[in-house]
Amino acid sequence: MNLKLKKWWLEIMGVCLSGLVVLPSIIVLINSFKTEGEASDMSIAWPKDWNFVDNYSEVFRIGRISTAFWNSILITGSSVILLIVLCSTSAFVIQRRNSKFTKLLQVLLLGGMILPLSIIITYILLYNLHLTGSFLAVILLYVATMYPVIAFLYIGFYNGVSREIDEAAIIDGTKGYGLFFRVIFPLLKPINATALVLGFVTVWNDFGLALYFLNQASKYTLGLTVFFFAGEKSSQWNLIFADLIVVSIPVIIVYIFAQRFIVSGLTAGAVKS
Amino acid sequence: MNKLMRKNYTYGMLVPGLLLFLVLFITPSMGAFYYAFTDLTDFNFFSAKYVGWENFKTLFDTDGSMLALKNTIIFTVVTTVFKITIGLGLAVLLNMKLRTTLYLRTVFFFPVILSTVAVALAFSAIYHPTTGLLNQFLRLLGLDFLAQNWITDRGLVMYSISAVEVWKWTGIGMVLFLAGLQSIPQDAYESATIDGANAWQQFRSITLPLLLPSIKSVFFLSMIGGLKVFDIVIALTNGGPGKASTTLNYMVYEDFSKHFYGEGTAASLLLFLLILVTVAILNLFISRKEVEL
Repeated sequence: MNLKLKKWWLEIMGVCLSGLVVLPSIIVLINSFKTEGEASDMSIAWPKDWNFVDNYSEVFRIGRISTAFWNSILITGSSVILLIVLCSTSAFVIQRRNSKFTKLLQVLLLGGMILPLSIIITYILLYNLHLTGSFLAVILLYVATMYPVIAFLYIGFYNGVSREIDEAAIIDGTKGYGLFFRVIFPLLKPINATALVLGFVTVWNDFGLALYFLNQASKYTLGLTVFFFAGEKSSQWNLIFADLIVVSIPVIIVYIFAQRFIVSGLTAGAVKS
Repeated sequence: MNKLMRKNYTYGMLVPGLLLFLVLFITPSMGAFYYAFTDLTDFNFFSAKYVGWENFKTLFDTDGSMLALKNTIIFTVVTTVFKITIGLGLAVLLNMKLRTTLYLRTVFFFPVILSTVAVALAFSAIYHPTTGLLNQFLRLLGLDFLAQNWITDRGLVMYSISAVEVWKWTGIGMVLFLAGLQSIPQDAYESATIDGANAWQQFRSITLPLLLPSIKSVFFLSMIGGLKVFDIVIALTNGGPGKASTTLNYMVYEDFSKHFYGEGTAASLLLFLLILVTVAILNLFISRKEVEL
């Protein structure tokens, strides 16, 4: 009995604590439906006047959301595909060769995972290559900065893929690139899913690199639009909140449908660092 | 064997990704060691002149940079302590096999997937001194004296920013700790109970030591992330009030916008070295501790 009662207390405590996450989220959601005047109180009360359509269409109209949405999709999609292809191949060579040279490379990768990018020098370098302000610049930078963590994910995975598979394939006559693309790559589905999730959430939510490198309104990502939008509309909380919701919806949908992958993908990335 | 290596694990597969990393990450990092000592002010690497320690002198002479360093350290320490303690607490709670475990895990992990900027902007509303949720809630409970100017008070602002970081990232620690907890064999606790160890003793002598690897990951993750802090500051306070919440990485951005590229690179190099030294020392310290255990 005592134990049962204690468990009930823990359940109640947990649910109360979850309010710390739930309440702020609900405030943002509810106030995104209100009129400007009502939203400025930021109360948790149900909206008196539903301003749902107006707020959201206004955000799409002035917030440049649709352009930014496609920009974000393009940047995130390209970066993630590049990361999966480049890291799975690189990591395969690094793990299988296991030489002094590849051990040195792993030290460099470790440094890349821990240390910050020297952003100003990188900026000037890309400026001289005529790449600043272009999607290509940020895509390449996302690949370069996430290369270490994703490569380590794959190296960890290859540690568990027996060399006997390689040897059997080689004896059967599958060699070189064929060995990787026809024999090894099909085995990578679970780790590709992890890399996909980690890359998607990181790039989609990134703000810093986009702020430095995409300085034209037509190139803004969703993260940038919401930042500048909040700066312009500093008191129209109904619109700012609507914008925040729109920006977060894609990740929330993925979270709802692929929660297991998201949780394991993001924590795998964390452990590697 | 060598021929086998060359053919099947060819450098042709290694190079494309590696090259991007070397050109866009390693080269600029090396370059920073030189350009931090130059008067780099335009986008021309060749016109920059060597100025010795000038940039670092300016950095150390201005109060702003010292404050930025102090703020960065406060943020790093505060967020690391709370991410570990709260994350551990939540993991222990979720490991009790409650009916609500699945719901609680979903909710507590939820902030991790959101963009930092979106979270920071939402909190700028929650921290609003008059209409913000936080102060309204405190007044509702009759705790008016606790209602503060969370992000406009110079003494408080860094702690308010830290709280948002903890809110956003504790879920990662929680999941890692939970995985660690679930891998501890139940019979360790059973035999401890027979030996008469109470809950706290069991936590200290079984749970904590076996969780050490996960604690270490969360600790390093949080330290490194904390020292690099930027997004949350620019979106929540923009370094304000005044310069009260600037951090090292925020200062790099400020120098960049003002075209002080040499100084910005010096600040960036300082951050680079700070992280390198911190990680090296902590790693040494922790691996020595592990040997003792």
